[in-house]
Amino acid sequence: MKLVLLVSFFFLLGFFPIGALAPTLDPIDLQKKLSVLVTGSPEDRARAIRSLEALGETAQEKLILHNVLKAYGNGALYYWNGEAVFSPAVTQDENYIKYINPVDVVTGKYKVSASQRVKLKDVKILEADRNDRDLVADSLLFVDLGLDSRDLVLNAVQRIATIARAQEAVPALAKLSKESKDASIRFSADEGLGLVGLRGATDRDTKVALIDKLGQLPSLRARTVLEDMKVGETDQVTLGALNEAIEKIQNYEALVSVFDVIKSSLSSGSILILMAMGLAITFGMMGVINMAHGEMMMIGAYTTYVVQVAFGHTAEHPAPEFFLFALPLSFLVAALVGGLIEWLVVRHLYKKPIESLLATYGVSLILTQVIRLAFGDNRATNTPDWLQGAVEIAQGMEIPANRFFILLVAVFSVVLVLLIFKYTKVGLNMKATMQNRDMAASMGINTRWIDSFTFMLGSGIAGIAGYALTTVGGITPDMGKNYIVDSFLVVVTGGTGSIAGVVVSGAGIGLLNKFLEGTLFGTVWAKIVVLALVMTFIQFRPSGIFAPKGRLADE
Amino acid sequence: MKKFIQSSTALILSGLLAMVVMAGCSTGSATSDTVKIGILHSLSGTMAISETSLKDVVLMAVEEINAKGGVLGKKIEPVVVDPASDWPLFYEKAKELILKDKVAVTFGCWTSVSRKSVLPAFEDNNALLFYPVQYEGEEQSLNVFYTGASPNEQLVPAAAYMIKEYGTKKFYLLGTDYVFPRTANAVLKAYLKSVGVPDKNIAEEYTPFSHQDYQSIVAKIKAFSKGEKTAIMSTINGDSNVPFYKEFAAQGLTAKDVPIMAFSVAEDELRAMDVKPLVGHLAAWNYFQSIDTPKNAAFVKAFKDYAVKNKLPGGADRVTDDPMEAAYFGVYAWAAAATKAGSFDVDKVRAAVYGSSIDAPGGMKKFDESNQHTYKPVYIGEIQADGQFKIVYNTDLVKPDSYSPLLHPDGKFPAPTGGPKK
Repeated sequence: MKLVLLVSFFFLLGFFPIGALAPTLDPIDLQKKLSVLVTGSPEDRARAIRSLEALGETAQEKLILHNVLKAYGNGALYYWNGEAVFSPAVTQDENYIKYINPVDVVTGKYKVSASQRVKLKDVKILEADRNDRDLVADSLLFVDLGLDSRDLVLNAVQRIATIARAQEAVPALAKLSKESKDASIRFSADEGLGLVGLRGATDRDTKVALIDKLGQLPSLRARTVLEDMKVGETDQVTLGALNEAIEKIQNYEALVSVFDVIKSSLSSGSILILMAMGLAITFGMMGVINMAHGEMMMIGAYTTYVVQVAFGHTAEHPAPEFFLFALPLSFLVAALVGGLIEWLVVRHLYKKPIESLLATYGVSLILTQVIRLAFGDNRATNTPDWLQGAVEIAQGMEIPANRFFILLVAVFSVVLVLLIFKYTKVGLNMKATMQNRDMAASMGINTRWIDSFTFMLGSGIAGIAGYALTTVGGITPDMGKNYIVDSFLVVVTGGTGSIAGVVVSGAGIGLLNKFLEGTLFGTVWAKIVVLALVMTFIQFRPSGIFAPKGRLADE
Repeated sequence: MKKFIQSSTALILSGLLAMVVMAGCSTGSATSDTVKIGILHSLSGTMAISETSLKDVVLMAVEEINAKGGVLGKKIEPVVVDPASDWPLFYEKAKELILKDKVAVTFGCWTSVSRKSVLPAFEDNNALLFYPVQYEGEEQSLNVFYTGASPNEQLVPAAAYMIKEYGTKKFYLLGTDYVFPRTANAVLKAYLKSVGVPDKNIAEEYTPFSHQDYQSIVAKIKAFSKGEKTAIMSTINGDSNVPFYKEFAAQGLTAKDVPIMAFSVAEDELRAMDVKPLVGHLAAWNYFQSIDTPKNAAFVKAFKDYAVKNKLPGGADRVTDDPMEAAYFGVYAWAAAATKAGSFDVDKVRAAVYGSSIDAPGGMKKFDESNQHTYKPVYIGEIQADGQFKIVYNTDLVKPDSYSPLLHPDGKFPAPTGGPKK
């Protein structure tokens, strides 16, 4: 009998959520508080906003509060039929009259029906003013501490220590610092506790201990706080601790900036490599200066855009699989256009660098304007969610997903080209043609066909570069022109026709550029200095880093 | 030598051919019951993205005026030319409009460098240009009416707003490397110093046109913004905006950390961007599509309908923005002035424009009594998820400066240039 009682007791406990005991999210109470936002005075509204923080217990309930606050801050909360509602979207009809589709803030269910709309004019938009938005932003942090989304919690932990009411967050921070499973959250919670503690600390020992702790972490966000403390400080012991902590943090900052330079140079280097690789092959093999190479990249980017439109991918209705299909398609379309140009123009101009330069420049102008007329300027793809955001590998060191993706694409393309050269018959024929066209022809290699294939391969890789670039920039008809000069710089520095040369000089020029940009010069001067350095380098090694050797060099 | 003769003959022939073709395009059927106006906006090249919409909206205004009977009993006949984002070509095309087509007035230009290029053409021939874009000031030509903002109607109020509303202590002035951002930042710096922002709290940086890689700059902004409240005052122009905002978001910065106040990003530019990460960033203009008045709603609807009817790219998704409003009411201002003057004569029209009021889509505007510029209200908007701006601040009409007192503290302004031939 006792056992039965015990079991039923636990059963009941499990059945009724703990919320039954603690204050929980009562929809009627929530609506009552939200109704204050409609007509309440600024003070009443401030109280109502803050009272939302205390509501809710579970992560799920906190998420509802998060959505309500966020909607109020963004002006996307509506007051209709005596209660606050969401709307999935604001739509308009052919007369541009706007409508919403009321949705219950707690249950997420349609108030009327999925198809029935309400005129926006008949609804009161609950729009936070500047003051309310600041209050909402602070309250959001308190609510977010109780969510179970790792990113939102981390964001809240990192920001909450600097707001005016940070003291109120101490219990929650202490809890996260002990209990969170995520190392970044624990770190930031410790940091936050240190910063908040320092603000309230009065006696020297507590101060010095906290300063030491922040220096030990080392906390990047603490540096300015510590520097400000130094200004009025007279006590030698505290000053010593401050100096020591600041030095530790500065050392770490130096490390972070080195990381930043390496990261951004790898990223811009990989774009250069993708662009220059095709150019190196065509230039080295056929002696053609292809000024339309940048347009192949542009065509790859526009292909990606067209695929996105075909899949109907938008921010509201994601269809991220378009991005996978766009990769082979951007390669193929660019390769086909490249093949067409080769057949129409370039094949008549082999071994005539000057003529090919002028003719392909003309082609590039035509392509640019044709695309502009057909597709318009400045399109943007909505990058899939998994390519947005960044991964923090250590405090202050983040790798943005899109940049990492470009690096992967570059590595993939280099490996692909190397494999083609090394292990396929076509590759062998390409190498032979590149080294000695007449001899290769007399050995039965169809050099005409090989030329065409090579040109298409180079164009296709440029198309992939365009595909990758859609994740970091916009798509414009003249985007290719921004890269063509840099790509020639890479080819010339690396040594014509050498894949290894392209990789080394692409990465090197990327590094040099980013190092100068980030440290000594601004963007404009960095470009000029890089150009001057490359010109000087060419004076001493006219054939580039990986110059052809032996008999090949004589050609 | 023979080859040389051959090729020069070919060159001359092709030149002649081009002239014939051009003449065929632009002469049209001019009769005495029409009055010609020129439209001088780039329809190709790097500025086509912005300027094409201005051509569209000017043509719409012309169509509306013609439907109501034209000006002084004459229908307006627009002559559209394409200077192709090529600054010397702007000068050539301007001269062609003035001398060959003998247009009564020209509506055109976007970048300051294009305006500076065509200035001699208009001043030498005492012709008239309506220039619709906000710019850096420091200019007052009697042959130009500036319907966009001067610095004290956009730059300075925006900086004042950041200090007052956001408590901004540090300013990062970031722009594209040409005359507008450099002069605009000179004005901004002079203003910031005048209100006590120390030198060390102002950073200034420029990138070339079409710059794509903003990694190092965003990293610098991150470092610069530590500690005190920082805002970016952005005069980045054209297609660089997309990679800049993308990089900004990718490195984890939001409008709450470091707000960007942009002077060259309007609804038309947002149309091409992934707006989600930009929500909350700001822009300062004198008009937003979101101005909630019946007059503006009618204007927005009329333009969308016009885009659909004429099958313009984008169709009903097209938006209106500040330069478009300025270009649009410029046509009406000219028509009203010509009617008032009873003549298309440039000197008479100019006199009639001074001090005239115009009921523009975004509200009343007024031309200055003498300095060629326009009284406009200042609007500051926050980017919303739908690519529109939420208006968070606006003023009454502000009197425009032609030359900024901030750059001429002694109050000695240069005399206006151009005007009637003596």
